[in-house]
Amino acid sequence: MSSDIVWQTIRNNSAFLKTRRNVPKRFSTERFNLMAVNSQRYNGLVNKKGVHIQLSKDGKKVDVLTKIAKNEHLPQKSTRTVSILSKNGRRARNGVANLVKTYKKRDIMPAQRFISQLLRGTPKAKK
Amino acid sequence: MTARPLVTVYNEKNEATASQIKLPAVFRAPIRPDLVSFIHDQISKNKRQARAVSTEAGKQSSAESWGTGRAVARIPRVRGGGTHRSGQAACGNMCRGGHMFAPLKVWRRWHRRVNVAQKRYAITSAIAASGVPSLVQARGHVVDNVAEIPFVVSDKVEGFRKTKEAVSFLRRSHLWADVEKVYNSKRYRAGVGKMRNRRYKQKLGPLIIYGQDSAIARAFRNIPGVDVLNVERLNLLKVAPGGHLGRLIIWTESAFKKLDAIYGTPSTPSELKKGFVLPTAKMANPDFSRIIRSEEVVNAVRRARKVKSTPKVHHNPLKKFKLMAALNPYATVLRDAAHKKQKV
Repeated sequence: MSSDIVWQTIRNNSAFLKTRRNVPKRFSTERFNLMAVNSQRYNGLVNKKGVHIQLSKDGKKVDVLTKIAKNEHLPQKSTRTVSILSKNGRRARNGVANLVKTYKKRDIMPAQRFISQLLRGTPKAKK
Repeated sequence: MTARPLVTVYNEKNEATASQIKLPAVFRAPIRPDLVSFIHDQISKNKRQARAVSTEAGKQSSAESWGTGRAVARIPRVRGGGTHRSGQAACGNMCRGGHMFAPLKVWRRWHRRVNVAQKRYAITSAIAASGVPSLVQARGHVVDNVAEIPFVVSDKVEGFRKTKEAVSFLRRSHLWADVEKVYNSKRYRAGVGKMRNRRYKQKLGPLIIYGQDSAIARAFRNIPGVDVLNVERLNLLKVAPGGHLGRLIIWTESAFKKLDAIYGTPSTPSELKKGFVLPTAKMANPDFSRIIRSEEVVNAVRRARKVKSTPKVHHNPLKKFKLMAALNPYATVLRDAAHKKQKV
């Protein structure tokens, strides 16, 4: 589906759109939006390709999800997950960059920023 | 994007069956949130019941103005004596106990006529939007694990008589998460509606559209958030609730097959709607990035002139010795002399 048409429908009106009084920027909390900003460029629903980063369910790895463009209409099969085992910030950043650069170059920087913030926010495992 | 792929039919256990149906042409109708919102607005006014204020409200006192010369405003005042009420102002909208400004009348225009063609356009647009996973997600439905959108189920579902079967079907098809969302969203209504038999509010879940009248409604109706509709009598208020596109719709196989007959295709007119032709979009190819990357455009356009202007960075000679030496050759001599002095 054309991302432009879907964007025009969603841009003002979406379950993920977050607007607050006195906050001039609009945020968007859907998956595959690495900057969490409400814009066509970064929106996770509208674009065929997207990268998302989250902690794995057991909390020990970081999962990098990518959208499979062909399976847009098959939600169950529409994502591919690769795990990054290292929780070291520098290693994880490089790992993510390697995964993303062949898939969607534009998302390398946002992905690196996202994973750095994610790991900074998770409590360090006590050895 | 007028390609019409094959949609797989799933059975009630969420296994893909062998049957596949070509996507009905309705799903390629133009998506018009503005139109759907407007039509929804108009149509939702049609179930309103007249309400008004009593015709005699605020006028039932025999008040009469005291006229001029008595050092009071000329508003009608209540006659008689022996009570606080006597001599009080009555009857005006500014008076306590008087009638309101512009009393509400039952002959207010409650309902709205909507052109049939516009209603049909809106419904086709809403159906088309329900086939776009992004729009369904943006509307707030939980579809992460649904097998396919649009989701078509075998007609066995139409034969369900027990809510238990319905629930088990929804669970297996990974649609139960959407129903759970409804359970979790049940809350008190804000405002006076609470005491007017509208105590609770909750979100909407999936909509089930069936092809042949059966007991399916009875199986699904007690599940919160779930609505059930017959294909031939689709309701925009349910397909695009709130005027918002992208409701999660579960089609039964017979309903899905009927869509081409009901709405027609670009090549065959609709069998059930007289004179109806599927609306066409203003742009055949709305995908901007595909257009600019297409052969025709790329061949017609000259190369972009990328003039890389890197700004010249000026460093501080006091901090960068090489620069200092370039500006003042004697600086090298001074520095060496200083070094020698330090050594000594």
